[in-house]
This record gives sequence, C-alpha cells and structure tokens, in this order.
Amino acid sequence: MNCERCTNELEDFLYGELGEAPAAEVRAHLADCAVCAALRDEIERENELFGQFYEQTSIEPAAEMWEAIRARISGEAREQAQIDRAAWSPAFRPLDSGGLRAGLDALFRMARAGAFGRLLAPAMLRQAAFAAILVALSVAATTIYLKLGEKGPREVANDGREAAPTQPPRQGGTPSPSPSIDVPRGGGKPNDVATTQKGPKPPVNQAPPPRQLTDQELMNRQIARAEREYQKAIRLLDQAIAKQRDRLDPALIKQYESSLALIDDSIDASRRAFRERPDDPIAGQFLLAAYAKKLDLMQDIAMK
Amino acid sequence: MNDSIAAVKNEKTKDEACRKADGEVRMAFAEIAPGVVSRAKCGDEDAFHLIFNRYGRPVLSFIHNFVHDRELAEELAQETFVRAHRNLGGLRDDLRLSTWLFGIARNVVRESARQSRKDDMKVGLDEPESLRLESKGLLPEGALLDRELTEAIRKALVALDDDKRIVFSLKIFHEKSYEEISAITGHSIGKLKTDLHRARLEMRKRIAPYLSMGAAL
Repeated sequence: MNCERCTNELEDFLYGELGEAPAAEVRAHLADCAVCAALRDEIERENELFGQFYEQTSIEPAAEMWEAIRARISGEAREQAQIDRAAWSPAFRPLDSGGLRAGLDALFRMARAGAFGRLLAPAMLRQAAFAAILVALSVAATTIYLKLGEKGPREVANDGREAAPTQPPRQGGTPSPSPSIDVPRGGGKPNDVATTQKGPKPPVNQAPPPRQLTDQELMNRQIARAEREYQKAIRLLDQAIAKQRDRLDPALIKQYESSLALIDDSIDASRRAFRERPDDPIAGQFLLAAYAKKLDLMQDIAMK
Repeated sequence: MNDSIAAVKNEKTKDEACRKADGEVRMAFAEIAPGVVSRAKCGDEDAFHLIFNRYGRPVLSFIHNFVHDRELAEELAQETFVRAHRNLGGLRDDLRLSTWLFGIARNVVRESARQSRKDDMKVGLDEPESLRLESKGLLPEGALLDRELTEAIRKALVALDDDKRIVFSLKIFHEKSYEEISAITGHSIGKLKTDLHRARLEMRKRIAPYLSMGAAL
C-alpha cells in the first residue's frame, strides 16, 4: 500500500468501515510510514475534540418536553377514537362512504397538524387534504340534503301539516331537496342496494326554475363533480409523493404501486360500468368508492 | 360479519404480541430492546417513554446542529417524537429505530426550514447562545480556550452546507454507519464519503488556528 491509498482509506479505517483485509493493509502501512501515522494522529485528535464538542453542546431534553409529547400523543389517541366513533356511529352509518371517511380522517389529520403552527404539512399536502375534505363534505352534504328532502316532507305530511316550501335548484348543481339517491352503507360497499325513491313533490310557492333537474341528472352531476374533485386531490397528492419518493422504502413503494394499479383498474371498470348504465346509482357509487380508496392510500403514503 | 371476525382475530394477535413484548421490556436499559418497540407499537406509553429517554438527547442535539435555536430545536424534537409515535406501526425493523428516528428528525427540520423561509435559522453568529448564557467573569485559561474552540467548531459546523453537515453530524457525533446514514438521507454511500471527507477538510481549515493556539500553550 502506498501513501495515497492509505490517505484515501484512512478515515474509513478509523471509522471501522473498512473490511478486514484492507484494514490490515492500512494498519501495516501506518506502522511503517511516519507521515501517514501523523495524519492518523491528527484525525484522531480532531475526532476527540469533536466528541468533546458534542458532549459539551448536546442538549438534554427538558422534563417538560416529555410531558408535552405525552399530552400530544394522548390527544391524538382521543381524536382517533372520535374518528372511529364518528365513522361508525348510527348517525353516520347511513351516510358512510369511502369519501366521507377519507374526508373525516383528513380533517382530523389536518386539525392535528394545524395545532402546531409552523409544523404544518407541506403546502401541497394541505391542498390535497383540503380538496379531499371538500369532496367528502360535498358528497356528504348532498346526501344529507337529499335524504332530508326525502324524509322531511313525508314526516311533515305525517304531522298533518302542509309541507314547507322549498327552494328551486340553482345553477351549478346546488342540491335539491327532492328525494334522490341513497348512499351505500358500510364504507361504500357496492353490495348494498341503493334505492331511488320518488315521493310526492312538495308544493312550491315560488316561480319554478327554468328546468327542474331530474334526480338522475342531479345524481350524475354530483358524481361528475365529486370525480373531478377526487382527480384534483389525487394530482396534488401524486406530486407530493413524487417529491419524497427517494426517501421512501423501496419495498413500500413497490407495494404502493401494486395497490395503486389494482385501484386504478377498479376505477376504470367502475367508470365503464357507470357510462354503460348512467341511470344506475350503484355504478356511480362504485366509482366514488374506488376514488376514495385511492385517495386513502395516497394520503397514507404522503403522510409517511 | 367476516370483517368482524377478522378484526377480532387481529386484536387477539396484537394482544398476544403485546403480552410477549411485556416480558422483554425489562431488558431495556442502555439500549432499546426490540420488546420495548413492540410494546410501544401496542400503545404502551411507558415503553415509548423509554424510547424518548434513550433517544431524546441525540435527536434533540442533532436537530440543534441544524437550527441553532434551542426553543425551535425542542419544538422540532417534540414533533419528531409525536410523528414517530403516530407512525410507529410502520417501522418494519425494530432494530433500526434510531436510524428511523433520525430520518424523521431530518424531515421535520427540512419542513421547518421550508416553512419559515428565513435565513435567520442559520444562527445568530454575532451573539451566540453559548456566550450569552455564560458568566462575564474571568475564566481560567484552559476554560477560555475550550470556549473559543467550542465556538470555532460550532461556527465551522454552521458554515458547512446541509449535505456535509448532516453526514458529519451523523458520522462523527452520532457514530452512524454509512449504511445507516444512507438510509436516513437517501444519499449514496459514495456521495456520503465524499461529503464527509470534504466536511472534515473544511472543519480542519476553520479550527486549525485554535488548534495551534492549544499546541503553543
């Protein structure tokens, strides 16, 4: 071994990062070469100084730090319990869909992140989560509104009073109180039967809209809108994931891509089915459930 | 129905794993035994406290090397451990806990830097915290030299670019292997070696005057 090679390998030798054979060569060279041995002494002295520097300047966490961490993780556990309760409570069950659950989850995650000021998730992630929340709330609000519209007049009628006047649907697809779709139960599972009920229309005491949207048109509009929002959220999440891809475990990436491919197949199949049977509400719900699943998966990866 | 059965089975398996880990938690003293991590994954707060006790200082110091503001460093270390707790289930190899924690800490620091968009994170060199906290009284000669050398090393560290500083900090202060540093930073081992060598040369150049003073004394 010559001095140049020894110099190149000296640091690794001192870190214990050289294999047995090269380490033995360096050791032998150092025994014979005063110049390289002096360099070794210099590096060892520096390392000692750096070690002292670390000992002197490293910071011992204050006792309050653990208390703060404990408070935060306990708070998160409570929030998670709230999510679980909310997602499966009887009040939400009829409205439960993949989108709603994804939105609720994102909402709580964002609330959690928002509690810590500058430690918020990257802007792109925030936008994606916000978009997801909008999608979920939009779908949920429509469903609630439609369900109220379905039950309200009937319940009022049962009381023997005249049904309250309702607003006509506005431009841009504002939900109508007229009865419409029922969201599948149990996380948007397609096995559940969605029903379309058409009850008596409540009397309207205002000028009729230019054209009353049918339930079918309304549902299709909502599904198309939700699909657009999902696609927007997915694009944002995709960008966020691409940025941090190099630091993710390759095995995880492989698993993620494989799962994503399956979900994308499911989305394609659902979209085809929806186009072939646009009057079938279940086909639309299939499509949204597949998007919600994709969003869930991407959020999990982006939050890693 | 099937979902419920699967959920019950999962809970049962989780409970068994937690009970098994319970016996191992007592092994954890100087190092963290894998059982501690398993228990923490099961939601055992005491086990997570052990992890914090073991890695709180290195993680906090590592972060402090980048932000040079104790309050911010503590805030970021806190965030690191909260994220670690949140994602502990995703840690596949319990033996790589410290590497994983440093990786989270690095991301937290990067996000914080992006968020703040301020250059003042790179330390108030004019009035370093260490000098502000010290007594204005006369110090023994050796202590003064130590203080100057400490300050010189600190400034030299701050002057390194991020890639060099992270590899220098993890290798020299935290004695991580190249493989571990590569897992934390995502950089190739070749790049790490080059960065570390250059970092050492820069550090040497900057602290050399103080070393000769020490030699002269």
